[in-house]
Amino acid sequence: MDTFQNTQPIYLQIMNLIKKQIATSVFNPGQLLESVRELALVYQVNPNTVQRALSELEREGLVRSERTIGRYITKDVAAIAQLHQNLVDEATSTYINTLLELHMSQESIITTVKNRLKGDNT
Amino acid sequence: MIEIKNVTKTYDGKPALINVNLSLQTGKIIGLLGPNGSGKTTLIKILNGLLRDYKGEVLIDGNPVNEISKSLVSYLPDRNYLPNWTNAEGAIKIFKDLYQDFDEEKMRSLFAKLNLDPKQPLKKMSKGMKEKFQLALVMSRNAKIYILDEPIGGVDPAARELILKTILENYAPESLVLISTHLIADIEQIFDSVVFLKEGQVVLFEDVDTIRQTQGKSIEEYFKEVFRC
Amino acid sequence: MLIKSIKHDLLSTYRDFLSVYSALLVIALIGPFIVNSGVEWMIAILFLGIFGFSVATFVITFLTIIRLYNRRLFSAEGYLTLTLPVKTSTTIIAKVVTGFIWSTLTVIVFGISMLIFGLIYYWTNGAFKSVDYLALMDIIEMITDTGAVWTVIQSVFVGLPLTILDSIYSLVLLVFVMTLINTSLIKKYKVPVGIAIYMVISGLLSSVLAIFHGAAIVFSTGDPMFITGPFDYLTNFGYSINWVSYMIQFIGMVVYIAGLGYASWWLLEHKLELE
Repeated sequence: MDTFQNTQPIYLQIMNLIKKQIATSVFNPGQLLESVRELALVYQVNPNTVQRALSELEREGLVRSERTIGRYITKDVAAIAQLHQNLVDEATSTYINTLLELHMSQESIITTVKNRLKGDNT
Repeated sequence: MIEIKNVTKTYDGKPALINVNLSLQTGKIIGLLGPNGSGKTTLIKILNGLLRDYKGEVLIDGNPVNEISKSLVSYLPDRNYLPNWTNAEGAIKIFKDLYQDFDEEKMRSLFAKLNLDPKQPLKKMSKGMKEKFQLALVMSRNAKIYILDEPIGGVDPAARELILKTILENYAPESLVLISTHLIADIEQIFDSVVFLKEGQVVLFEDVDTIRQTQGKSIEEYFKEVFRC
Repeated sequence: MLIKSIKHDLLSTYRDFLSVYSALLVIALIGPFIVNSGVEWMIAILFLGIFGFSVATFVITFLTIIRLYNRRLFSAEGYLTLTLPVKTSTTIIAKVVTGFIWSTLTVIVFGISMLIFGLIYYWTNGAFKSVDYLALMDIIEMITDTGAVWTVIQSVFVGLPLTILDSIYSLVLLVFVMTLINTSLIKKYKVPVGIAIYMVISGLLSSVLAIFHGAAIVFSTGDPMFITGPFDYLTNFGYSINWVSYMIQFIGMVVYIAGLGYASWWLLEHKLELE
């Protein structure tokens, strides 16, 4: 069960969570989402907050809704790929900027990444 | 759904509520927050007809406070209001008889979820159990408005989670839930908006995510900031 | 809704009266045997007990009704009673009716207990062994001939409504005073103030009624010596009923009940302040 930080708008956190779930294939394209009510219970948050998050995701084209069916993840594979890319870019920028702030050179950054990945391959 | 217009209540020259104006809409879960003595209980008593001598006007779904408004409101007070010898079966009989919107099925399933014995009388229950008991009763009504005064006050964290879940499960777009509490951290993620009541006055009435966005804080932190001093 | 309210009021309060009624029945059943045993000190205690208990029964009933009203309306239970989807007028009427049922029941149970006591006593002392039916018929004929039966029936029908009204009046006055001390009008020393107000109003209303009553008697009979207290209708039994006197008392009671009832309603609607 997910707990959200109370210091940031919860609807944004829900959006980010769902985006991550889409990008990591926890949700498949076209997959039907649970109802607002059910999600609210799972997340233990206000249903209107869930509603807002889903509406925003609809606006961004990641979620579609159909009257009689409910909400489902977009089938637009390109959009999902774009989302994936966006999240990768975001993470990369954050990582690199942090290391740059820590006064690391570009070469040492690359070496660090390589070593880390080697270590993680066991 | 609930209109509170220019409500002022003074006790013996000491103001408990000063010109309170609030418009609470359907489909919302609203937190009524403030330190002890800020007027929360006074306001709640007025909404439920337990306090009648005040200035201003209160409208509940268009009705003044009367037997009609009382049939629309399911109220959980901050004290035990059933006789000591009552048990679940007795309480069910009373509520079934006097409230049209009482759902016996819901009551029994809530009791099971909360690990309460329907045959056990109140006087044999611990404080936490008594609170769960009353909450189950109140939430078993399919009311338009729920007014809960400190619903998670005296219960353990596990029960707290259950109670929040119950409140969320009872949520319906046509209903309004007003929760008065001082335990903000545990409950703030279920609010739509909050009212800050300071010394009888409304100092804030805002959506919670807007507060989080503009203040960069949790509601609890912002609350501490506003009420410091 | 009224019937439901009364039903739940009764269910919520029967335990208080159960003990009183059980004690009465126990005395009724055991008492005769104590008397028969001839043990002097036990008999003395019994009769002292009975006398004391008779007084106590009615005082206890009155106090229990007060406690009942206070508990149902103005204690923690008031948070339930006063938030029920019931009209204020219904709530008040239900409380008065409940009080009336209990006080009437107390009188009946008391009467039955004394009857049982008497019957058991006489039975254990050899009465009813051989019933002389002819003698019984003679006695019955004798009673009916004197018209005493008709007089008794007449007095019951005349006296009963006034007794009932008197009982209801006391209960409504009680509700009124108890409501008054739970409003924003009286903030401190609620209990002593309540008792004082009850006695003052009770005395005041009786005096006013007595004045009207007396004036009416003087007008109708021209004899100032006929002035009696408001509830001396008992003296009318067996004699020709003074209808003026009766109507004055009847109307007076109805007016008081209506007035106090309305006042209680008004207080609950506009001045209630539950702790």
